[in-house]
Amino acid sequence: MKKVTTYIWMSAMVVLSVALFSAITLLDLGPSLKPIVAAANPTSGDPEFRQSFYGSFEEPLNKPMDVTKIGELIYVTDTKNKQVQVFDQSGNNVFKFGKEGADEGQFQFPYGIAGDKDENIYVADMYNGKISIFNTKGEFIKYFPDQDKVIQSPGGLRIYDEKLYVTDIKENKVYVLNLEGKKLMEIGGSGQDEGKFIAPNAVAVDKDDQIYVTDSGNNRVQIFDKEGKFVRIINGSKDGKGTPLFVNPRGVGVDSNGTVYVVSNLSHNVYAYDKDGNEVLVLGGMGTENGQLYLPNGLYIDDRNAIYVTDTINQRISIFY
Amino acid sequence: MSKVKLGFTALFTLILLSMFAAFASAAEFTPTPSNPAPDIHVGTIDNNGNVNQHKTHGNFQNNTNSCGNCHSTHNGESATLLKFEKTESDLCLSCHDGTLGFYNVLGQGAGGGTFNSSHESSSMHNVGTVAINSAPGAYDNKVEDELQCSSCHNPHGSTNDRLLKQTVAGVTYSTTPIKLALTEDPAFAAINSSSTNSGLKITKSIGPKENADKVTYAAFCSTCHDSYLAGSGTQSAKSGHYSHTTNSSSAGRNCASCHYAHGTDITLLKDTAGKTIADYVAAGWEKETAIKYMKDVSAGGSANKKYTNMSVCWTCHTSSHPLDTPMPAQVGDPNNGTGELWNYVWSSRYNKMIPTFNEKANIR
Ligand code: HEC
Ligand code: HEC
Ligand code: HEC
Ligand code: HEC
Ligand code: HEC
Ligand code: HEC
Repeated sequence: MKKVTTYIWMSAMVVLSVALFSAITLLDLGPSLKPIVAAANPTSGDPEFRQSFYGSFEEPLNKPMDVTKIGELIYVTDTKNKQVQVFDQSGNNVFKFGKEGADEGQFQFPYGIAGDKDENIYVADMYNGKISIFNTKGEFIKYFPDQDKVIQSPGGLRIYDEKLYVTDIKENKVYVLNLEGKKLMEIGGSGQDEGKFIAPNAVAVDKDDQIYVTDSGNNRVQIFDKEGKFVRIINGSKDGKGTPLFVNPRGVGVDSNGTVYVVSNLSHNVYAYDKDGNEVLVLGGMGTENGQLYLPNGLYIDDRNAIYVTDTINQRISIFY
Repeated sequence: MSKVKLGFTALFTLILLSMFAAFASAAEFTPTPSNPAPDIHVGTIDNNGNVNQHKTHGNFQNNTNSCGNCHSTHNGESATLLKFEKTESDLCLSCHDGTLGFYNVLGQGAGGGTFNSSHESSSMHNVGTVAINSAPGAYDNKVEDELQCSSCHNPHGSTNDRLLKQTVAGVTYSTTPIKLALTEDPAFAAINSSSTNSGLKITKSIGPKENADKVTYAAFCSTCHDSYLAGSGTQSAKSGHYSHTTNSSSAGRNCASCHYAHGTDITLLKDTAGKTIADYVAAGWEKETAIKYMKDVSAGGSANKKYTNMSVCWTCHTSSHPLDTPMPAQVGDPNNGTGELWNYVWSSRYNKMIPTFNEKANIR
């Protein structure tokens, strides 16, 4: 190669890289470049925003309160529309079911949603005071047979190992029942003490069967062992003993590494904590852009550690992994 | 070689980036109770020399974090740096939709009525969609702002019960606080009896408390509905219309006697005897029948009323300006006070026993 050509090439490279890097920094493209890199290598690194689901064109999601994955489909309680919308993995709206009312198959405030191993869909209705069970076609099968009639105002709902965990918002309790509807355990009661709740909105269970309950009115998450004995508090402060960082915490989930994710509704964030309670990550932030949240509520983590968050004002589900 | 070069450029980028970050965070502003947002300053001592708590309600503790919930330092959409100008009621409904258990304004309410539009015969203050000066009876009220929860409530706290604002639509209607007839709500006995709730008590209301409060309450509503404030048999200087007494301290003649503050629907509406659909269903009626019976058929809609149609009028007008409609059949003897719906009560005004609905006592 001729010397001149080398010089031209070299200076071109300098100009180009200066242009590239100043573009990245000045136009603040850093964050939007990163996903491409990470997508090529999805197993490492912190979860980050990937995708949003918006609902059907004629009927966008309206105040989506909770989300879950059952089989390969994603189910969302579309609360203000009083129905459930179902999506495939790429965000296409596949079908929806339920309509307004207090009869079978109808909703007034569909909230917590979960699936059993036969992929039946359980939907808690906070106003109707019942949990309805639907088959994979969205047909009403029956009400959850709550044998002792304990459930009054069901909010958060999850099923782990053939056991149903439900928060009762007015009763300020968490009930654990088997799928035949027999009550196995109850935790809580009204108050601010350890082990008491004001308006528990969500529940999750980790692989050691520890139970995580979002105690919304007290701005904290409480952790219980599998016997229901209080273990500790997460509220965003050191050791959970200081002033809470959370404002109106809602959805909670634990990934396969034991990292706990908590939605703080009024700060529009999802906070993540490692097993020792140290903050490791904050997702979201108030806004309407991709990856931002606006009064987020429900949170679900699937078996591949993808995090689904319902974003009530932006009328979408945002997915982070 | 190429690795080193890459390392260098990466380093260079990092340095640049961190400079930007430093720049950005220098512009960051930390809100405090006395300075919640740039250009907004609040005194820390109140008129009485006490520390001004500027206490916001419920979860909004007096810490710096709490102000940031509603006031954004850089993302504000309005002059007061409110984050939620367009979605304010959504913010309130993040908690007041039943997910906190109590004070669900979309449910039966705790005295204020309901904002639920999904049942029959519903009507309400349509927050977020109407202008304040679209209030029926607005004459001096020319405020074009959108009607919001904060048109009536001060989310920061108030000396009035239920955080009611002191100045509404630009009018300071009273300097004495409105007290409401609040009692602990037995539905939340477990919370109310808990000793560890920093005094949190969930209450329900039947409207203004004392006679003076009834007058002040009517003045509150009439900030927006300004020509509806009326004495007996007087012609409004503003509208030229005659009106029922609405500004009196006597029972039945203030806005809260006949209207809910938020709205109404068929599950809340009562009949002359003070019965609801739930009462009739409990007494063995078919639900469909009860709904048909209670349905408000007024041309103007249910107008936030506590009683269906004009039934409230009859509840009162068996004594003063009595109607010559026979009193309904009932269980019990109205002569000895055991009538289920009505009894004979002595009227000093008419100097005789007058058939009187028991429900009359519940009208504020
Ligand atoms: C629940 C939401 C909310 C919270 C929390 C909140 N504010 Fe506000 N703030 C408002 C609204 C709404 C207005 C506009 C009031 C109006 O339009 O009358 C406002 C207005 C103000 C104003 C302007 C003066 C006025 O009255 O119009 C000040 C000052 C202020 N807020 C300070 C604070 C401080 C300090 C805090 C924290 C202690 C705080 N706010 C927390 C909702 C909130
Ligand atoms: C974070 C949840 C939350 C949000 C958001 C919220 N509130 Fe509340 N609200 C509460 C709680 C908790 C109480 C009970 C507090 C108490 O009595 O001390 C309450 C009580 C009230 C009361 C009754 C107060 C009383 O003294 O009886 C009114 C009125 C009210 N809220 C209005 C509003 C309005 C208007 C907004 C929106 C600007 C709003 N709230 C937003 C949680 C919330
Ligand atoms: C037109 C004025 C007005 C508007 C608009 C309004 N309120 Fe109220 N609200 C009142 C009054 C008056 C009361 C007290 C009623 C009583 O006890 O008689 C009240 C009571 C309440 C209570 C106490 C519980 C209850 O059911 O009585 C809450 C909570 C509340 N309001 C929240 C809200 C929220 C949230 C919004 C917006 C979605 C809102 N209010 C809009 C006037 C208003
Ligand atoms: C901040 C201004 C404001 C205040 C205060 C206010 N109102 Fe209103 N009111 C309105 C507006 C605006 C409308 C028209 C609402 C609409 O169309 O949704 C309205 C409508 C109404 C209606 C008619 C509803 C219908 O469906 O036709 C009634 C009844 C009513 N108000 C009663 C009251 C009572 C009672 C109070 C006091 C507790 C009150 N208002 C306080 C602004 C106000
Ligand atoms: C709680 C009792 C009460 C209720 C409810 C009530 N009224 Fe009255 N009404 C009175 C009293 C008392 C008077 C006598 C004038 C006064 O003292 O204000 C009166 C007066 C009247 C008058 C005579 C005009 C006047 O102002 O003196 C008419 C007409 C009337 N009422 C119609 C109605 C209608 C229609 C309704 C239903 C919308 C109604 N009333 C509801 C108590 C009531
Ligand atoms: C004695 C019962 C009674 C009292 C007191 C009363 N209202 Fe009404 N109001 C009604 C009835 C009944 C309607 C239904 C309209 C109709 O059919 O005439 C109504 C309708 C309304 C409307 C709807 C618009 C219209 O004119 O139809 C507004 C606004 C209103 N009232 C505001 C008020 C305000 C503000 C007060 C207090 C200053 C008040 N009312 C006091 C019984 C009452």
